[in-house]
Amino acid sequence: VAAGDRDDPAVVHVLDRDQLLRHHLGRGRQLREHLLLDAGLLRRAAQQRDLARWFFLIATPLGVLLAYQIDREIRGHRFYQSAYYIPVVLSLAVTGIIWNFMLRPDGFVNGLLGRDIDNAVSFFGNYDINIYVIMVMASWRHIGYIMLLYLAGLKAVDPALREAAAIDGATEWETFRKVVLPTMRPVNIIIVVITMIESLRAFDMVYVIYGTSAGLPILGILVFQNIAGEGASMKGAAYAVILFVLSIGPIIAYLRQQFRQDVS
Amino acid sequence: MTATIARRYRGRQRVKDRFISIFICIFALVWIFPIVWTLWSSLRPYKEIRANGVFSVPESIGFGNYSTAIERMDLPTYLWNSLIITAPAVFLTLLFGSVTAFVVSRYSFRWNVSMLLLFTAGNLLPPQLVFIPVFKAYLTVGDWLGNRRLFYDSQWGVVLIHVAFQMGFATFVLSSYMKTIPKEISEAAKVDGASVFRHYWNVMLPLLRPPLASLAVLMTTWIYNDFFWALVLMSNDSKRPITSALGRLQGEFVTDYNLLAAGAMIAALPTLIVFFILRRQFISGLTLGATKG
Repeated sequence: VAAGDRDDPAVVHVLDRDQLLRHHLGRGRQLREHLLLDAGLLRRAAQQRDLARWFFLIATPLGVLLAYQIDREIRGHRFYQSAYYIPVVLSLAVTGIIWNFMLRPDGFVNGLLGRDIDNAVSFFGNYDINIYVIMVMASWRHIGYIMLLYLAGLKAVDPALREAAAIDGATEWETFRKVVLPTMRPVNIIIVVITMIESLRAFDMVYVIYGTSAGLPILGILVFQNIAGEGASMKGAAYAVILFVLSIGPIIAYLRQQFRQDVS
Repeated sequence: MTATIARRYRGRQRVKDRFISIFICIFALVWIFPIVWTLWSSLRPYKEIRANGVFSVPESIGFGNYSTAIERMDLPTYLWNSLIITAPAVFLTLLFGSVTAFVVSRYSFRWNVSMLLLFTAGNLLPPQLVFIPVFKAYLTVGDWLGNRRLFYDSQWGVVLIHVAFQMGFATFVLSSYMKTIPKEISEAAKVDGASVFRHYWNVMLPLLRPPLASLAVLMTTWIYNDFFWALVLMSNDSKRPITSALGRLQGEFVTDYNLLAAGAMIAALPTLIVFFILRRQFISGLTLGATKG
């Protein structure tokens, strides 16, 4: 452990937890050296994975569903479109304060649960809960963004296709899965890539809640934590390389999609 | 025959639609609730909430928090900082972006596509990743030129990094728009003996007005909203834009949280105004380049 790391209370805390974890495993240093990884890194990887899963299985499909319904021009669709999109327009700094109002000890959710300050649920401080807090906050922006992108794609789908499917007796779900989804292939790829990039970018979200001394070790924040200030440690650079390797795949996929029409 | 089936299909659909719109309506209300709640809280003194609880009936409602916030948090200075960073950054991004797009799409040369690719790829990388090299480069270049603070801790350094980051997207959007403009216009200009600059300034630029407007709206929001670069590339808090300053204020005014809500609402106001007035440009800009990471 570099000397600089000890100065940061959050890192020390993470290390303590790791030691506890290793103690419980009863394996100690052996396992760590054997895998060339520490338990903390594994836990980080698991959290990053959970975050990606949440984005792919819940947040993005929800955005697509909203776009699909709003596209049918139900009453008030313009209002709904704006309502879902507003969080994307706000700065993350503002988003952090807004959610703090919801989740702080004397905030709305604790009020709703009927807890006063002394026995409030600590949404930001509890390690088991704060990953879900990040998920909710990130989705608040992500869903509106996906909705708007998908909506633009849906506008380009020929309505005659859907009509024809309905006449052939296809249900709503079949129409979507077999007619609309395949014609939207370019948009779908873009959405998948954006989802990947967003889940890697959760840094900003963590930062607005915790500041530099992050409780939640998302890769992005580890990079920041280990390089902030001029005495940059090489550990930060190493995390940056991991982040780079993870980011470059989706970026290449995205660019290939974008430039395919462009080159031809 | 077909018409009857279609009509029956629409009839069934109408019933379903009603349920769906109710669901979407409730969901939308949940969506904007956090903002509404913060707005509501910002109108009440924190003391009252401390004393009577979160759901207490308000005894006094007013803009007291707002005037206090403007005064004590020095918000006009920070808003001014935001302006002098955002305005030049948007202007330069559009200028450089349109010039590059013009050359890339109107004069063919060998590295057209690879250059566009490089620009766009750089734009998508997480900023924390690029931060180390940028930070070191700013200090080193500053040392070479004899002034360490030339780029680091200066408004121009932040403008520069925003231009670098956003230019790829602007170039990409503008060049794909230019491809839809008939080549004949350019050929006519060349036949008439227009110089390259005249061709760009008097022929192409007027035609680019719609995408430039959309991009200007988008870029303004993105650059205004960013807090990362100003935070890491500036050490002097009084130079920072309002979004970066909010982070520090959050720590400082932790004892009067409703005051902070007022500050946050003031910081959000410019982007909300831009969004509601120029909603059409905003959305078309976003879908023009299909997306942005």
